Amino acid sequence: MRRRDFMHAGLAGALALLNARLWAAGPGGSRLLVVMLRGAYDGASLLVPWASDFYYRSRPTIAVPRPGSADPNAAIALDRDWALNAAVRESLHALYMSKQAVFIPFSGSDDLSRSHFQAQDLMELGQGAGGPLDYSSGYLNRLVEALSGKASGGVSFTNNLTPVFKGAVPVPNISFKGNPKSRLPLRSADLIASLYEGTRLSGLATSGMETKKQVSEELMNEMAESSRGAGAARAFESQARAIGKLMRDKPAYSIGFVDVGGWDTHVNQGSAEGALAGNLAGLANGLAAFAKEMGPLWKSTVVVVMSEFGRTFRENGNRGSDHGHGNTLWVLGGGIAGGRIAGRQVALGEANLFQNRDLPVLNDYRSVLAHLFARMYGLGDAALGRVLPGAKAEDYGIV
Amino acid sequence: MRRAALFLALLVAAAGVSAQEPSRADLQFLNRISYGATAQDLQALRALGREGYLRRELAFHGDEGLPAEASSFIAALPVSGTRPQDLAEQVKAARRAAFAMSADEKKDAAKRLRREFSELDFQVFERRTARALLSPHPLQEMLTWFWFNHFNVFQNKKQVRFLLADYEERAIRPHVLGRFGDLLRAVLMHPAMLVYLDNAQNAKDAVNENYARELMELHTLGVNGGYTQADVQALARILTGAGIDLSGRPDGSRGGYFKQGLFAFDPARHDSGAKVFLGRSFPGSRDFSEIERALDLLCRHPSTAKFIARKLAVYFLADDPPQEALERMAAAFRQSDGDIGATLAALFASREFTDPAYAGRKFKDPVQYVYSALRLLYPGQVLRNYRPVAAALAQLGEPVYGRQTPDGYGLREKDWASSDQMVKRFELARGFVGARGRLFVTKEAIDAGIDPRELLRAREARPVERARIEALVSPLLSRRTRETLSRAEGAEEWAALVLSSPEFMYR
Repeated sequence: MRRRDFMHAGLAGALALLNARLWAAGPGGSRLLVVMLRGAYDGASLLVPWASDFYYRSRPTIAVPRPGSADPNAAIALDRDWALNAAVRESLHALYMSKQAVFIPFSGSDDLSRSHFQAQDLMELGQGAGGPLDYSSGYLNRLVEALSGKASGGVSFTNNLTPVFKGAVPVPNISFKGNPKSRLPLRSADLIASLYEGTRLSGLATSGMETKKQVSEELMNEMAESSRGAGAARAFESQARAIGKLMRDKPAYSIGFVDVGGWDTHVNQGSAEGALAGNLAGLANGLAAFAKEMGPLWKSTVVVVMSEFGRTFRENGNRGSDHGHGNTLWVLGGGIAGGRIAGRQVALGEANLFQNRDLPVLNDYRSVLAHLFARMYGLGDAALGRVLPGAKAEDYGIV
Repeated sequence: MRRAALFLALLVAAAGVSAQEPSRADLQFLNRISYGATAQDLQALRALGREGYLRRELAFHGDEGLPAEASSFIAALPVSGTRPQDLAEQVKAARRAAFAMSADEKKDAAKRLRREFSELDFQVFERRTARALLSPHPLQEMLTWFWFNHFNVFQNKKQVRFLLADYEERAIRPHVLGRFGDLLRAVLMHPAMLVYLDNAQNAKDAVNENYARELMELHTLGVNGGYTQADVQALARILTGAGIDLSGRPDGSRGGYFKQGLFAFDPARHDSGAKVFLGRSFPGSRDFSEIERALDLLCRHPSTAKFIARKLAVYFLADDPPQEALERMAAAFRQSDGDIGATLAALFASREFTDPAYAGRKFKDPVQYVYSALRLLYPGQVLRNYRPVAAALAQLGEPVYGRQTPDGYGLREKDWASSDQMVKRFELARGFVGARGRLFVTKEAIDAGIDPRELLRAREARPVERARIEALVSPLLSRRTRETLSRAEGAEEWAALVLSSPEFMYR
């Protein structure tokens, strides 16, 4: 593989400059959705380094076929180095071609535990590795806090509140496993509110009952329907549509979080077809549907997709991959400077693998988030320092 | 006016149970080591005293003392009489039959088999729930959940579908109060775990790290327990060859090959080269002994004692347990060579465990919430339909056997307390009281389109026993809660509010 240019000038651009070029959100305000892929998805099967012979040598059975051949499963070239898995042709590739998708390979956190659970927590908390994890707040909660008073609020599309939204600001969650028919009568709600008055669970109890009132029965039905049957990533398409409707119509839910599981492919992961490709297709179709659902607001919406770490660059003994390090992060949005591969890159070869097994991390996920938050919300140094302490905002030129 | 009503309510309650009013301390004690105190548990506690009660409960009793109706319910479940070997034969027969089938027929046959297995797995849930609700030894039933969760497998991964019942019944349950090393070994030698964490495919020259990593991170040492990536790789090589054998050949060992049930160690798949694991040199062996040595090393590692002590203390005492109690528990674990009962005895005898500051402060996880609600409302009664229970747990995000990832469900308030969780509990509380008829008619009757009068009869046969319930909760309720409860209209609204109260969210 050819050695790629490093990121252009302005990489570590001064924050003052970032703020000066604030992203212009439309009259409906901006929207942010963070998608967490739990289990460490194999980025090298999505964004394929097709020019690298080392990639094909390292993955004799799971590499995605090179673009250009007659094979219908061949990857779709994006440039001289990178190609997309054909499973996302109608969704992600279409978004990329209309300049609404950016991929950042070699990204991730500095966690070295290779533990899903530790790495996910670290990433949701928005901390750097090294010290003990501080569970008091997650970065999306701190973001909502930093934006308080600006008609924006958080919502978590998860069964329970995960570390990313823990913190000072109460954030409601909406799960896909509800019983849409079940509604508390007003009288019960009043009595229950009285039971909780002055207790530590009071905020959760009342915001739970309030949130339920905000979501129409029709939408609840759709959400409950979507979680039946298929596995997590495949069910995601209808879930994403419901999320889109809700985030579009409710400015109070302008910062959302959702997680998708099923990415821990130690065995028979497949390449352009198979378990992983199916999951990628489900995920990407879902996000394309989300984009459509947002309507005109898509122009001022940003979606970030990431995973706790990447997988081993070489395939393991079972046509799968084990826990690795660097991975590919994606940013989607109707108004971003897309159709690009962004961030620092390095030539792919044995010498450049991290610990001779994984992709290195050259682009800290927090520096990407800091870039997005600075531009989207005009956060200054001090505020960014509270949301993502210690992160360096670098100019990825996405918004 | 309200005050008068409250006074009257208390008077009525007191009249019903006057002689045996349980103390706040006894209720708090039992609520933490059971899925909610019942009159039966209180009676045992009174008869034996705390020490005697604990001595009894820290031993495994199996299904001893289960009400006859519950025992026969469990015995009648098809899963109770099914061996995993038979199910493996069924799978093999289905595979052979598939050769002669068209693509559509194959799909149908696979679907039928999946449905059959998921029915069996539902019976495992029914068995687990019946025991949790009715066993006179509730601590061992909580521990069955705890250790299954510690060694979590997901029911819908590959062959786990038909191995689940045996995994819980033979690998987990008999060891829940025994020696940790025996439990760990039983899990390692169970095909459900080997399939779930891919070790069944881990072989010389085709190494898979999945089980090796989780065995240290989640099962023994803990993530900061002092192992490195090199240790993960070494343990993965040590574990090569431990897999499953569905051939149906008789058990036994020959030339290093060792088969027991569906478990097999195959020396031909084992990497017998030298390794360095946790700083010890492993010269390499051609039999199972190398794996046993690694397990011993892990069980006796000081990080394991600490990790297990902490996890038990988090489950039974506090989200952030005090250091002193942890040290005593870890010491008990080490000195008893990993005896789980002895480790728990050190916790239950600790000053902290009886300190009121730690009582009633553990947020119930959904399983604890749902089971404790049912034990409070319908003690001693065998449910006839477990579907609403499974649905409630799925809604609350903790379906039994449904955790996909090996970390198991979280044990702390932060894992469960959310706005959505609260409102769902309020809704479910109304359902457990108002729709109770559905718990006591069979799911087959409901599927066949039950006559609403029959549902009504099932419901009316079980009126809400307000006085009995009141005795089990009122010592725990705040003044505000009592005041609000006094505004309830009728026993049903009152009971649903009790289950919705902040005090009932904790144990």
